[in-house]
Amino acid sequence: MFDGFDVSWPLRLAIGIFTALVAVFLLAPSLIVVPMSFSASELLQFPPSEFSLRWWQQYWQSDLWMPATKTSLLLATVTAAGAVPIAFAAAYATTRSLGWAKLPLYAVLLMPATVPPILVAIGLFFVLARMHLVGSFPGLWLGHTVIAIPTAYVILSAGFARFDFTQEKAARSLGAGWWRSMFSVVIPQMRFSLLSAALLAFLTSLDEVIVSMFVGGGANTTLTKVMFLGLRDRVDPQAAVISTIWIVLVAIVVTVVFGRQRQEHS
Amino acid sequence: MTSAAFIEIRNLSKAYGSFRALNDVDLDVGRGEFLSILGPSGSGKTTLLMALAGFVRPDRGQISVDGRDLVRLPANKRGIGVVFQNYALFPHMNVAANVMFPLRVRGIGRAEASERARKALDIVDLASMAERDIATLSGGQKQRVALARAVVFEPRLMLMDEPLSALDKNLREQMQYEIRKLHDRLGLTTVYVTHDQREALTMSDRIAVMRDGVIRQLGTPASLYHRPTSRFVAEFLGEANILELDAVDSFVAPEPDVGGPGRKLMIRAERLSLSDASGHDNVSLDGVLTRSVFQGDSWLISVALANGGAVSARIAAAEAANFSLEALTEGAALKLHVRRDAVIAVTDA
Amino acid sequence: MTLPAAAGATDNSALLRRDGMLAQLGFFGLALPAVLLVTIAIVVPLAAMLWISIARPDGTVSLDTYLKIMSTPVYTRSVLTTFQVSGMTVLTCALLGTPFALVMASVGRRLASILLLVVMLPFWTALLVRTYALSVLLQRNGLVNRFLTDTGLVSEPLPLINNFFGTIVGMTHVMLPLFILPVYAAIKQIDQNIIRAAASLGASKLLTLRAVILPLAANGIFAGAVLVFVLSLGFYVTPAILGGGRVPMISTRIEQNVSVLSDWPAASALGVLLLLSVGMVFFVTFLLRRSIKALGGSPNV
Ligand SMILES: Nc1ncnc2c1ncn2[C@@H]1O[C@H](COP(=O)(O)OP(=O)(O)OP(=O)(O)O)[C@@H](O)[C@H]1O
Ligand SMILES: [Mg+2]
Repeated sequence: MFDGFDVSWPLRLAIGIFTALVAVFLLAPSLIVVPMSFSASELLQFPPSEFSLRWWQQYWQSDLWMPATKTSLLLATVTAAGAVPIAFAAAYATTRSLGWAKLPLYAVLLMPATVPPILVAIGLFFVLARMHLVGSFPGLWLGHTVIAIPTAYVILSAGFARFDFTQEKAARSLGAGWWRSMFSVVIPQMRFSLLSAALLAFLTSLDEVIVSMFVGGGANTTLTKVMFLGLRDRVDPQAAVISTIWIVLVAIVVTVVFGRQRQEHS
Repeated sequence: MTSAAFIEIRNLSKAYGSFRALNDVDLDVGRGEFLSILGPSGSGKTTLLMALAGFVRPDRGQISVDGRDLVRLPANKRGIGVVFQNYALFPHMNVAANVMFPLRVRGIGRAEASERARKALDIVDLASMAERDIATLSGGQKQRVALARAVVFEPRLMLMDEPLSALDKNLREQMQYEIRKLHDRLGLTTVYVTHDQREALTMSDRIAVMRDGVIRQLGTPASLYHRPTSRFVAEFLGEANILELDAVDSFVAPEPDVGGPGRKLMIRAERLSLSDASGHDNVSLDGVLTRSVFQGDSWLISVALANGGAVSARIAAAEAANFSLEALTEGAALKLHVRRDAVIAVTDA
Repeated sequence: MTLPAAAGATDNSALLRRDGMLAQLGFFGLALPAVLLVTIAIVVPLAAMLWISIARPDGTVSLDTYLKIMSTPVYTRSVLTTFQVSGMTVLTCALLGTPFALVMASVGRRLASILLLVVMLPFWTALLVRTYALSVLLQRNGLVNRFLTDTGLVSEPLPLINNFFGTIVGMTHVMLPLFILPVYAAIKQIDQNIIRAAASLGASKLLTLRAVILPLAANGIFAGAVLVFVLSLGFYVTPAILGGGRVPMISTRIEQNVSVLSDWPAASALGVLLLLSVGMVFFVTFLLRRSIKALGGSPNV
């Protein structure tokens, strides 16, 4: 960017150190939990003085963490399964048509991202309490799906903006009905957007704290709720194990998404 | 037009808001005919074609093909082959799968579909590329695949929207020839949109010239070129000199109803000549040469007429050779000759 | 030019209009599930909250709850704190994020994509994981304090957590990627020729930065700042954990009112105030953009 200038080396060094420090600040919290999860000590410290697998073992046998993990993974899966088709249909409709209604629809669909999550949480809690759905899986699903809709919608709308709708016309002119052209032409070409949307909806659900706090409970307690309550009371080394699993999961997802972007660019 | 026209379009209208993209269009196309729709950008060509294909819902009007009104039929039920400007090949399928698509959609088994696709690819000389990925094809090859895909299911009608505009000049001329050859071989009624007048003149049986959502003139390439009824059509199809009615001495309007205000004379640049070929009923125009440009196969000269007005004349190299270079320098007085039947009265719009 | 209409040609405009309306209805149908879910889960509850905040038990309407909130120090302090935390977070994000984005935009492709990964990875690391890790790093005998005492920079471990400072560190960590991304995008869009032109005119780097790049990047900085501010206003998790109860945000007060005090009217009124604040920020943003445009500047400047 500054090709026209030569930057003197002290300035270069200063800029380099600053950038490295910010990068460390950004990355450190994600990275230190990995060695911490192998710590042998009760005390939380970094770097750990001794290593062991005790926390991993305890996690595996825990009747608090394991069910919560299962609940969270299941919930994230059905959230993605719900949010993606719903957002796909909405993104298709707003890209193809609905001229004057586009702006209001856009506002409604992005609402879950603009309304503070605490309000979404207590609002849902209030509504679900009336329907006796607090602590239920469908209640959690509703909350998480709604929160995942904006992300999925934005990704899929961007995908549709790049999609050449002449493709759909071509399929139709060749005799394919709406469903046929949808499934053999539109969806196959939108597969990367769909994959990204699904992964990010999955992560959004897995990451969600407040709605899970208010709406989840009992058998339907999510990982985030267990972790949050644990963190508020004391710092639990068990959380390092969960965090490590999470980070590995995200690293895979980010690599997949990045890899596909690189693929698309080349 | 005869009442037995294959495609009959009546009163077709389409407005976008207050803008009228199609304004009561009437058009008949004969069976097996190659008809071009020609017009400047925004004249409504694509809108008309897409209404035929079923992608634009008109506000009112009829479109009947083979006696059946299909204006409310969904696109996939019309059995019309469409070639799009960007080809719209499916990038996630290979060449063979693209061509087989319309057959598979119609429930034809894999073996038969594959056989018919091979035949269609044969027609466009691409049989050897059946297994290729779309991304690996050149522009011309993509064009051929798109053609094969549009004809493989034996549509009753073929529509093309500027199918050659993405190709370079040489390839374009070759494809013009091949598309016309394909048409003649299959006898497929074709409506072809272009804004390239030369392309339309070369390929078509008839041309419909559009402007502002209206068909301004319909006819064979020769009749449109030589006998335009309006200044617009005259200028759109070639080099046209527009003159006042009194610019030509003793001009008698060839058609009795022409004349009066709003009328002009039109003479094609290449119909003007420096030599007075005898044996014809010629008129002559006196003037002074104001500019001459050598263009290889011809000279393009501008002449200020003694009666007022100015014309451009295209003098073929063979004829120009009969004259000295001085005769073609600026300021030279000269006399231009034109056959009386090449002086056309047109409306001034 | 028109031919006589074909025999039997009828005016089919009504039928065609109906077809068009049905097709349009189909598109609405496709958007309906999303709209329905958002309505059930967000619109209806928010409307209910608004009602609860102004309804008296006898069914009449009043602003009592709001007046009570305005005059209760616990609540006014939380409003103040919320704006302090949000403003501070925007400030630190701008100070750290703008130079970082500039560097990202000026280094080579390879390094740039590594830096982008550095920004993206925490962005998608669970909020709780990051908060947890920060609490470990910042605690009394954590890595940071040990480094400070070992090197003799301080004699006593500093209180880095369970206070305003810890909250800002946590909030900055959460928000920084959200700030960097739009700024980076804006700088990337700047025409490289402008910078080369500035260089050829002999502008020093600092001058180029101040006079050419920063004004052009202002759009991204502005967008990032608004985004960070709005998200910070309603943030709950980080202040709750890293503030250790000493940084009362509106969001934490709402949570307490619901789950501890069961005071729904107060919680609702606070919620409405929070929503109004968010709406106001968006509105002011809109006005600013419009007046910039009206003054003849491009929204990029
Ligand atoms: N969906 C639409 N909404 C609004 N206006 C439209 C729409 N489609 C076409 N138009 C307008 O209708 C007019 C005719 O468009 P059309 O695409 O038929 O022109 P065309 O003759 O094909 O031009 P070109 O040679 O540029 O392709 C244009 O002025 C265009 O702006
Ligand atoms: Mg067109």
